[in-house]
Amino acid sequence: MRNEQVMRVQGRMRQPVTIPSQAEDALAAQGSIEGFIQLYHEHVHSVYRYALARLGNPQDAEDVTADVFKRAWSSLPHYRPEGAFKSWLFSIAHRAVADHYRKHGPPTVTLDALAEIIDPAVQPEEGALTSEQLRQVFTALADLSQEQQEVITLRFLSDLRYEEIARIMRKRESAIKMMAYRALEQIRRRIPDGKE
Amino acid sequence: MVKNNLNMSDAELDHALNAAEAAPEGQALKALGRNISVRPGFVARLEAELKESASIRVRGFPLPKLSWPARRALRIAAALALIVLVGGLIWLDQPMRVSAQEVLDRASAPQMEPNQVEHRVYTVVYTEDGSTTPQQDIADVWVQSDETGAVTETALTYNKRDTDGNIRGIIHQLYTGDKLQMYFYDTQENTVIVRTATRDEMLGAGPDYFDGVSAAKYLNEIRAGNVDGVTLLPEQDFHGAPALPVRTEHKAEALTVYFDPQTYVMRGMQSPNFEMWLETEEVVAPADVPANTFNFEIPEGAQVAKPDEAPTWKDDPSLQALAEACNLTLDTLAEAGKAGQSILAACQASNPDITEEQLIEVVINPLPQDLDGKVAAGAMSGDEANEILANARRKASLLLNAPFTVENN
Repeated sequence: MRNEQVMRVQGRMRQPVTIPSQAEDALAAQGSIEGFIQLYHEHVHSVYRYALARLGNPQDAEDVTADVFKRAWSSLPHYRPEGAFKSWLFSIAHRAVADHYRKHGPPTVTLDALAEIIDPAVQPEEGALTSEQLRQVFTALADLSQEQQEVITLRFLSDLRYEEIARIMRKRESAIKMMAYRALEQIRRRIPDGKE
Repeated sequence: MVKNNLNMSDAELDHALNAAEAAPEGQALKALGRNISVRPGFVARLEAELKESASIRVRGFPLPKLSWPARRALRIAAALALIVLVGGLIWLDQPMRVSAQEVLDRASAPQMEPNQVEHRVYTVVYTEDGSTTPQQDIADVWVQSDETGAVTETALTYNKRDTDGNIRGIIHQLYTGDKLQMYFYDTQENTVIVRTATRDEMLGAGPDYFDGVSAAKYLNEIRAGNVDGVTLLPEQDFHGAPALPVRTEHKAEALTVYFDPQTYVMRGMQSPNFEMWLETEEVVAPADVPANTFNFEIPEGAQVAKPDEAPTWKDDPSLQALAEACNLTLDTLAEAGKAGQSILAACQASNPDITEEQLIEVVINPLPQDLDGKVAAGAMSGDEANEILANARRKASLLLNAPFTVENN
């Protein structure tokens, strides 16, 4: 039944049921594969979205997502429950993407390839964009600096708080907010009306 | 109130950010997230892989029935393997240790991508000579790399404040290769003083405070002469980020430089009267680099002082008086400083009978009259003059005993 919470059903994706952070800690602390699988279902989509936006290729994004959860499982005994499982997981994701860059160089993203990734089933009531608008958002995102892309991706595609992003990127929260604000301003200039 | 380089308070930034997130661009990004889904089958496939790897982790190996001696031998072998494994795990669990030399070598390598522009913002806290009140400001730095990733151009801007914290001028420095142009815009006099020098002439043997590669090379040079003169301290938090502190007390001048433990980018440095740390750094697309970033525009209506009108270290009356008391020329003093001597040592080499106390008097005797004149002319408040007088003896002793380096000749 757990899969139904996160997998698409009849062409529609259900929003995952959010597990409170304390409960995540308790699941992580169990160290059991059953508990870990629950956490996996809770976060696999946001990790994948982050990896895809940073790497621009579904195959690479899947490889990195798999790598992240395998690393997380093997590092689980070292996890210190502080109500921040998601931050911890995305710290691993951040490093996995950086490792991927080191091995394979920066991604070469083609907008056409990315447009194919978009799920056409998720519309229109969930606020889907037209393909042209998506193209504009992708273009604007790709024009940002690497750090800005990281902040924006973690914030908007993976739904992390600025405080969590600061911890992951090892920067001050105010610096992250400044970076996000600048990035949004830059995107606004590129897509003056992203949601007509 | 401390403001960031967008000139917003934290509350203003939060407000602006909330508005930007609610605006169409923020909504478009959120919608983008909702439109991305994993490919069918991936989640289930990875779940199966994770469960499989977990079962391998906990599953034991079936042992065939063995004779007692064979079982005993196997148990001994297993125990030995366990000892090796536990030892290995203990070793692995230790924090990764790097040496000061490794940190400096990694920090000395070019850290930028080829042909890239970075914008860095530092907070700078410093205490002026003659003052005990620290001033805080923002240094705005733009850096351009060449095709090898080496820094070719740097533009640095920061405010010069008086002891009351009022902005007295704006300092703008442009490094192009080895050439340095420094502009000081006196906001009260509406005058720009321009100086051009080589990097060595301007910085002497010291590091460029805003270039981690330069700072690492500086520490490496000290270490090459004295391996114990530079030490790596345990990793610590430095203004909100983890950092590896590398400390030197070269020529009695304490300096700690903080490097990022993963990237080895310099996060800041600290000395008794100066501290600066990196607030933000971002790579900027060439199209977004503001025009004239690597140039300096003379403010409209400002007068430009000729370089030879700008005061140099040779115009410093204290140094002139000391050189005269020691029967030395200023150039001889500068040479002695380059060789690592203090003014006191250079002076006593020329005149062994002269004492530190006598030289302190040489420095501070003219001060009261000089300060009275400045107070009368309105260039300084009485409190400022009193503060300088109160610290004069200590500062004079420092001037005499510290390594003597000059900015340029």
